Amino acid sequence: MRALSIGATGMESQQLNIEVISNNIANLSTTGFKRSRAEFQDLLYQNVRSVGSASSDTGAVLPSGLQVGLGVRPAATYRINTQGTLSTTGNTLDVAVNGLGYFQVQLPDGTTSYTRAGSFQLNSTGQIVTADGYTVLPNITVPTTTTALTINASGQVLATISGQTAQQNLGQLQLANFVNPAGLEAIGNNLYKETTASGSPTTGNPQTTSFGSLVQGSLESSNVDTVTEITNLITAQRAYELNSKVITTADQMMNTANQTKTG
Amino acid sequence: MQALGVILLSGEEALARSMDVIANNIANANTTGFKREGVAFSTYLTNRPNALTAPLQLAVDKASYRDISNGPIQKTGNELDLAISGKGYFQVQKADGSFAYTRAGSFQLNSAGELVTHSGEKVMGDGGQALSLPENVSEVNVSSDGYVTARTGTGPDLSQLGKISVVKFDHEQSLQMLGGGLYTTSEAPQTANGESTTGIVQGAVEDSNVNPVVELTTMIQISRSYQQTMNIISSDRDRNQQALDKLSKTS
Repeated sequence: MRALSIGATGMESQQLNIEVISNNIANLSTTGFKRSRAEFQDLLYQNVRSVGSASSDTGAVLPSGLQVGLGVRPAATYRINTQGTLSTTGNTLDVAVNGLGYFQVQLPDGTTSYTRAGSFQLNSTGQIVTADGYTVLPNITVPTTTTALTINASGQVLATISGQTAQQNLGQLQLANFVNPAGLEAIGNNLYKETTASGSPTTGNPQTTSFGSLVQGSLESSNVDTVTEITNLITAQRAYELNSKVITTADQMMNTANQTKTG
Repeated sequence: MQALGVILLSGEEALARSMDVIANNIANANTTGFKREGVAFSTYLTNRPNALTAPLQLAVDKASYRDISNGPIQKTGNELDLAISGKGYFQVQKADGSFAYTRAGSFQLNSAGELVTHSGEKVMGDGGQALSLPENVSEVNVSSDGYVTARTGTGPDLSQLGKISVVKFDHEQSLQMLGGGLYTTSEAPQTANGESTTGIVQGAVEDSNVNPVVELTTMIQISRSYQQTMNIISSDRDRNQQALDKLSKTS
């Protein structure tokens, strides 16, 4: 009886579904988080009677065959890259991207990763770094004599330095974008890595063609919608229950068969 | 030959197979674009050697049919998720160049910017070309009749990038399932874009049309019929045993 294993594929898939939903809910207030969705596909089919095979010598053809499906498999968990709402924090070094693009972050191993979470800080040498202390590219160092820092919509970092009237341009924040941003690999800590699926990055200044603008003093909230997630969670839980019913029923049927008295 | 055993066995085999079909429906209760299946039974007559008695009637599961009614349209918020409301299929091209058809419209882009399914099959546009989006597009819009427009960069104008092909078939039941939400058929597809019965809904996917209550009820029915059949086998065995006991006493 295939029903047992078919039910098991259903339970496994729903378990994954619940895991994806829980991760979305857990990251409800993670800066720059993008919600994921589990996508399922039907598994292969066994042809008991092939569709279109001849059903008589005179050439009559079966209008529909007998195909028995073998369950379900997870096809993908894909990120939904819609813009999250911007929430004002008032912090000078909090920068949100409004539109397309990712900040570039240098990992300790020298490779570049990408993030939408612009909650930056300064390290001991005055460099702009992420909350984990990774350098934001291109490298910008803020002098200690700075009294006020402005990051404008097009990414210029301007410092008001004590004793000087004119603002000093410290550098230009750049964004990177990909042909298929959904193909980026999430590596945790709000960071993404380039993959063959995402394509190679194109970098450019914010507020130009193909890049969004920067908003200082704001952070991009996660795009998780609680109501949607809870509804999905209920559906997934019910589907899980239903699949366990299949297993119980198939088990009962096999039990019946086993206990039948035979000659 | 004991006819009873053969008849019951035929019924049981068919019931077990229906159970598999129900299990597959339930397992795919959350699968995008999945259509539930049912099993059609029929009787198969075999003549007994003695022409005076009625022929044996065996149960066979002759065919599985697909319930092609529409599933509920579920909003996902992803602009590359497309659902077909009404009749029709998306046309996709597999890696070997052959075409397949699907109603699971949860698409994404590959690294070349082409619109693909989750297993990487390219979505066909009007005119047999794979549909691709240029780099840095935002605000992709797909109209009900399949036209794709998008804003490239921050430019003010939306440019038209192509048309997603939606096709229909005269004999939908003859589509064969390949798994992964794909169907194949030898029948030539007909364009269904823009027809009043077919429309694309953007930002949503078509959920499976499996109704859990119906499946559960059918499952209980199958399980009970299976038990009953087994009971008949048991009681037939008892009857045989009794007959043997009685006959052996008289001798």
